[in-house]
Amino acid sequence: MPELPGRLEKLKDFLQLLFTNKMAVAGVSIFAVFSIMAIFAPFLHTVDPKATGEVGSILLSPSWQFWLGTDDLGRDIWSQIVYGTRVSFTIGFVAAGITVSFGTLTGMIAGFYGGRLEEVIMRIVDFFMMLPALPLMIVLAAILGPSIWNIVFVVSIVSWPTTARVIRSQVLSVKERAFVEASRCIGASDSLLMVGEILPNVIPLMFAEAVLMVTEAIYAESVLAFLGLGDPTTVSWGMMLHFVFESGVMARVPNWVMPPVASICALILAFTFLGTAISDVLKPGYREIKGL
Amino acid sequence: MALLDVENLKVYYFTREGAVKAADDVSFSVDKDETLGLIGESGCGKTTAVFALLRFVTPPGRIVGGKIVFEGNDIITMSDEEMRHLRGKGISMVFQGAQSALNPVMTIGRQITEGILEHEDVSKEEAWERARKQLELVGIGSDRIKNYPHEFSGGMKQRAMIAIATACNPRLLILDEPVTGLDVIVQRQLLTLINNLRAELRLPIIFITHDLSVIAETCDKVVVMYAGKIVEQASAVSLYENPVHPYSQGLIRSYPSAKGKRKELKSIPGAPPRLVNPPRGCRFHPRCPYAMDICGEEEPAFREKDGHLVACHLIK
Amino acid sequence: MEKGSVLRVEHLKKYFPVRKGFLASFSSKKSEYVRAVDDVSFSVREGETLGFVGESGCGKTTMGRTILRLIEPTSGKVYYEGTEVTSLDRRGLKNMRRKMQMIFQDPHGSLNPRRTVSNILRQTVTIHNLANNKAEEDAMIKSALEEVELVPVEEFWNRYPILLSGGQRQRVGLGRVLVLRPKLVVADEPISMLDISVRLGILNLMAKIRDKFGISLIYITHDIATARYICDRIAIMYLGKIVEIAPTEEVLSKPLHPYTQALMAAVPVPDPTVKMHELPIKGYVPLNPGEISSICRFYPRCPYATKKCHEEEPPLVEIEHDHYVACIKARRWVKGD
Repeated sequence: MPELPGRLEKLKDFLQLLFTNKMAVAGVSIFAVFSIMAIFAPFLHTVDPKATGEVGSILLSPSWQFWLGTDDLGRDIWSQIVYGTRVSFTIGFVAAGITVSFGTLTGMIAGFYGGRLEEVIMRIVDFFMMLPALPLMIVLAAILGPSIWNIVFVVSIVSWPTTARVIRSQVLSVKERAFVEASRCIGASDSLLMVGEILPNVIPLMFAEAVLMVTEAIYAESVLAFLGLGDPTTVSWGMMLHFVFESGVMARVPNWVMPPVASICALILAFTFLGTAISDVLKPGYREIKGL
Repeated sequence: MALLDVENLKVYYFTREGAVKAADDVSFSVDKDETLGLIGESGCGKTTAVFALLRFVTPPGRIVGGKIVFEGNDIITMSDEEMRHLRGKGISMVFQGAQSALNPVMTIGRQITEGILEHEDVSKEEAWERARKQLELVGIGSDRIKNYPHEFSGGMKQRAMIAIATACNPRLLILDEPVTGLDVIVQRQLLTLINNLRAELRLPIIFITHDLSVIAETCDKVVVMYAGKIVEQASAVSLYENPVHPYSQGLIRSYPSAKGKRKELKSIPGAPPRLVNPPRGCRFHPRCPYAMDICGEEEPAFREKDGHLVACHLIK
Repeated sequence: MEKGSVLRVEHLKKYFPVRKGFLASFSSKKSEYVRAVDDVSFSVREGETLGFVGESGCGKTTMGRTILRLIEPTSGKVYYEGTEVTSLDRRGLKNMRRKMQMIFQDPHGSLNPRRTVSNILRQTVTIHNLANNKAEEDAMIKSALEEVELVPVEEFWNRYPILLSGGQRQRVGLGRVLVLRPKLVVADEPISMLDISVRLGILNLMAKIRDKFGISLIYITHDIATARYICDRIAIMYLGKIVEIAPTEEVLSKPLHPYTQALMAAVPVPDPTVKMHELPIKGYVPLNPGEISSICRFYPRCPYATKKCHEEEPPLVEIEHDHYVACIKARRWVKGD
């Protein structure tokens, strides 16, 4: 009888299954492309994205030197796209990390302890969910001032309630399972129960949530930056859109408008695909339903 | 001629890990006026075999071989239309776990009349009248005809299922674990009902269970299944008095009894095998105290001993 | 109550409030309670196995959990060898867990699917600091696995529960608890979810371990036939109360409470030559646990009920030697009225 796989083998098995899902494959492919851009940025025919050029080099059309042409300050658009990937990833991952960590913490505590504590936490969650996300982000960004970390903060504040809710309901169901009671009977403390018994059964969900949170963050950054609340010292796709809009020539420069738009959409799509595919594949019975 | 003749039935489930031979070369028969008990543990194939009788086997399962002859006709080769007529009217079944088998949004009256109207050419009034009679028959008052399933207790739901299943006067009734999970007193009341029905309606019954004591209270003939195969067939009295197959012996000797002299019990080592890869030869041999070399090589054929049909190499 | 008793339970109660609907909560009607465990008192003698038998809703499972404070009692006291368990603080309770433990019913759900067998047992060792170093930990785990017959130990060490059979999982559950060398174990239907050919093996293992380590056992089940084989005494529970308690063979052959008599008449026997007896019980539907007031709980179904039964609760009294019954009729019968 084949021995059941240890953790690494389980992961391999899961990945194998995941890649039968077309969405996952599409998502990972796009993600791979952008990852290459982010990691190998200096080697991809780029120059300093913030370097402005002389008067003669503004608003150039795509050419061998500048693959996507230049913007109204002579900056290479292709380089902006490539380096902008780093910004998107940074904001995306950091915001997702904060959101999921905090969301899991609160969801776990609320779900585990129940009673008054849960009530209080969930009402706070409800309150935050009630606030309209975009206006809130705009107001906060305006108050806090333009900087990447403020954007990360703002996005996290707005997104954590959803995660908290999702995690809490998973915790509620895991909490009822007999092995949790059995551990409690052996003498495990509350924290040991939460970390040792419940958390491992919640991690897959956290991961799927994290992936989806990245899309929220990227989207939020692009909106805020477009509206002028972004960090002008950074090169991000949202800022590019802001500049092209401000420049007044937006209708005439598809080589400047399309790349950031396409990149934002593509990356968000990639993570959405990946997140949805992961949470589908994790659902029990996925194999059977797909006839694998 | 027997009412039902199952010959060499094979039902396999084709899964990713391989073919699960849920019912492998199963043969038994049921006469009119007889209650046949089908006993075995979870996964032994008893429910699968019985699902095949009603052609309820769904992919990845498939009837791979054999014949099921009911009243002279082979069920396996019947058309879908003929099968539809047969279900509920020729052969009827009460499923395990009545909680989920009853439609929660239909009154019990409707669930009974639905079956009647489907199979018989009667007026609605007549169908409802018969539904009332059914409820009386099973000991639920006819005044509860407009109740919904959630208003019934576990035992009453089971009775309701029996009312539905017998509404069209089937010629064979199959009961799949009808009292499993019920309290002892409710169980007893239900078993009394089943015995009474059987006498009143002269209804042959196939009774599936894993509970040895329940079989003893209700069945004339017993078929013992293990890991997808039949290991012994005998009359109930004869089986309990003198079990021949080592598995039957093991079961009966390990079964505690609340009454009578306190007897010494002996347990069976090991556990039932997974059917994806059953043991070679006799499927019980890894746990059998009398296993010989041949038991691990060749599947035993049925032989007769003391009036029992037994699949065991020990019998010459 | 008794001297030489390992466990003493006095007037244990566990009531669950019945949630009222939103609108009903505005009414002044008092909340209703489900009296799952309603004034239960008994003691367990050293080394004895006391069975609790009853049907669903009788409160036996809740009682088992309440004794161990997995559920907090509404009122009442539990004493373990003189120490009051019900008043222990968190640390005291954790220490008490080394003496009083539980075996769970569901072999599938009671093991964390993400922990290996050795990991599950190790958790017990580390929580209570039973070992000074890893080698000692490993030795304790190995010894526990050997006791529950999961051998060769290496084969099971890194196995995940999903690859274990039901019987093997219950053995792990036993091993997990055995590491502590408890003196009192509450077994909550430990074999009812196992295949029938496996049940006796686990039951025998429990008996073997009980005898070897001098464990007092509370065996909770709905299956009185099984209880017969492991219990020294049996308590019959009905709607939250103990209605009869006596040595095993006494309860089975000379049941004095009408409910016990009904149970014994109803229990099927694996012998086709034994005919089913008349069932001495009226009607189908028992009282709801929420509908109770001070009458004999069995009154609506009792074939011998009199007016007095409807007026007061019968106390649990010793009718014959070591045979307690909560029924005024039983008292009369034995006394020959």
